[in-house]
Amino acid sequence: MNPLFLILSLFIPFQVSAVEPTLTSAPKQEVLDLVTKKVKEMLNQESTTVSTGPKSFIGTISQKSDSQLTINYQNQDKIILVDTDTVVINAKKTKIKFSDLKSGQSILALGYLDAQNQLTAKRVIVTDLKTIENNNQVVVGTIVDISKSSPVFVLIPIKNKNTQYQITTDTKTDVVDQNGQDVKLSSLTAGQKIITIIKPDIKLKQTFYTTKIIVQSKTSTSAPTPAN
Amino acid sequence: MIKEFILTIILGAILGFGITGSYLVLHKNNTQSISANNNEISLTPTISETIVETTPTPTTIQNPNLTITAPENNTVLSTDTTSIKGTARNNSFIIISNGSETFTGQANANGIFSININLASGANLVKITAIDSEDNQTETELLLTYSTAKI
Repeated sequence: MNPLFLILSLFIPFQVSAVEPTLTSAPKQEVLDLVTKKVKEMLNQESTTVSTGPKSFIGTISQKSDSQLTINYQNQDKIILVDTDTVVINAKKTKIKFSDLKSGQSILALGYLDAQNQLTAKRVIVTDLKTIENNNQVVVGTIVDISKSSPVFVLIPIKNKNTQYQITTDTKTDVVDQNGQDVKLSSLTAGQKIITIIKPDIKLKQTFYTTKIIVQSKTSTSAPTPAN
Repeated sequence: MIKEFILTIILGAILGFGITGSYLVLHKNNTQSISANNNEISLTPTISETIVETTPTPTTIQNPNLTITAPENNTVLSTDTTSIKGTARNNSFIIISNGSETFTGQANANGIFSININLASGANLVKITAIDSEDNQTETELLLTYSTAKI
């Protein structure tokens, strides 16, 4: 037997083991593809969730640093980031420095949200929140009493018969039926079911002023009795 | 001849052990490499968690009986009118107030509504109320800002 042949035959297992690395390269590629796919999905998800248009937030400044404000509105904090391009305007519509803003001031911040849902403000406007407040409320109820001598009536809400509203009207009060057709204010009667938009009357305590009445029925067959 | 044969066997054994040892070492490294890659896969959920944390709070207002689909809360608009779109219980009466004006409309049989409203310059707190046929009332609020300034 040729010893050289015997020696060479010993290299056969080595050749088999040399194939092994090529077998493991396929799973590696699969992993790479999987990671790539996941990253693409994440990027797509992020691009769909981050809003692109300008956004605005209102609130009262609770904290301030060189680069950001924390504002609070309805017990929720919001971080507003600022940069050198941020324009700050006071209530008189005059440009001021960012350093002029103080805690306790209310602002309207306009800018763009980042992926962390933080607003990078392009404009910060000192604003009186009272001018923005919307005190209007909608009440569905039944007229239980209506004055013949003064523009006032009493309404009991359908869903809360323990409450009653004293509501004033004036010539600006818009009265319509369900189809939007004008109805004369003088035609309102006790027993009618209405939807009304009211806000606190600045002239009279515990009285509301209505800007709009939508008459739901001509008369109600079961008008509640007003509480004394 | 016998000497050569024995010598060949010894050399072969040495080479065999060497190659087998090398194979085992290489195989161990490969296993670790695949294991490391598997760890990468298992890291993916962690990345997903990061995305969940960074996803902005959904701005679509949702109540059981009232959903506003457009515009999004906190939107800045460059026009003084916009259309409030959403869904409510079918045939619900919809009342929208911007603080100074009131706009009304009705959801259709599928509960879909779209009502045009005016906006005042600056920030507008817009209240949207839906009243269904049983007089159940649902309300939500949007902050919409009308600004022509370059932002």
